[in-house]
Amino acid sequence: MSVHAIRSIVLAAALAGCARHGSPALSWEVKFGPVLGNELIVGHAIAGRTAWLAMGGDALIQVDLDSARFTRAALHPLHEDEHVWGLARTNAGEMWTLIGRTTLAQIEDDGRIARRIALDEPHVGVFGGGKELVFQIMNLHPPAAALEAGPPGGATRHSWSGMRIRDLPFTRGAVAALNLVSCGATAGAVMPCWFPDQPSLTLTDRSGASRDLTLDGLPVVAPELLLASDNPRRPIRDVMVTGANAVWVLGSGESPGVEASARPGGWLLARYDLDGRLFRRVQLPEPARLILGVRDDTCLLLAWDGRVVEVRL
Amino acid sequence: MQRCILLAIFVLAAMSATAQPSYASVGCTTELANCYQRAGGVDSFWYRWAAGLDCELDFVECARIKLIGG
Repeated sequence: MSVHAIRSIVLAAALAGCARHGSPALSWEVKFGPVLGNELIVGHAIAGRTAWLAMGGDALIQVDLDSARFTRAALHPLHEDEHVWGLARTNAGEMWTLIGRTTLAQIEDDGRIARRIALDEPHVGVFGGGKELVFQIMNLHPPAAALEAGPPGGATRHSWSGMRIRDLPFTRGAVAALNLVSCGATAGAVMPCWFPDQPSLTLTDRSGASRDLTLDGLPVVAPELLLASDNPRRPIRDVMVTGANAVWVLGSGESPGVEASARPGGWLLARYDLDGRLFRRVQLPEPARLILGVRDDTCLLLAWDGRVVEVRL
Repeated sequence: MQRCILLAIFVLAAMSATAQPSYASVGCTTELANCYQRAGGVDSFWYRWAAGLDCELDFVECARIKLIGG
């Protein structure tokens, strides 16, 4: 064997070692919980190392990620036929939700509904947008601005972000459903929002200016399949933008089997930068429902069974 | 044979009970069709139009659970 061949073998072995170092196996460590059962989450808000979850059963769960403590409080008072949707937290620490379509409600940490504000038009979403709240109004006539922002009780609102509801070749109700916006948490300068059928984000800064970011490696799902499926494969389920400009994305991904597909949550976790460059993309060993917190290369997820799990990417 | 059929029905029933998360919004489209049918029975044109609009709003709220619910 020539010296050149031996050198090549040694170099190849060294490079293989480096490659293994660069992509370590995924860690999945259960930290605590379960903090909830098999129940619908209708909204969440995150500030620092605390997460609040609004539940379909009209409860508020507060999770302290550092102390591994959590509390649950019934939202009250609510009439029998009233239910909440969405959860928004302002910089001032106020929390707001929608009761039905036409009431905005301020809620306290103990679940008490402290204030109700009647809304002129039916609303389908509310998100925290710094000092203001960001609203989605039910609009059955696209194209139009998807979101607007304003103070909770203020009559003056302004259009926020460049997101526009899309005219799609479906019935009016289906189009409205496909134009529902979700927004993720942020510790950075931009807030991520997305439509349920698209593998892309709209990143909006504090001034309301926005840009679109297409994310590679996320599945594209036909809108009609999304509407017809009971457990649709959503390209994006949750997003968190960190202060270090990393974009963590939880997607439905591929479940490993039929039995596993019945579990709520997504199987795909990916990390991008703010230009959409993929840093890493992994298949989770169990599905996760939300991203609760990120610190450096460590992500805290709410697993399908309600436990809080730490994943390192 | 009857035992086998009964067992199969039992297994299918058990599977259908466990395959969906308890919050899954099965049948939003079916409920929309039913709602339209009810709205179509309203006599007044304007009330019928308003009832139809309510059906669509209900459909969006139903679909919202599976499209963006956590």
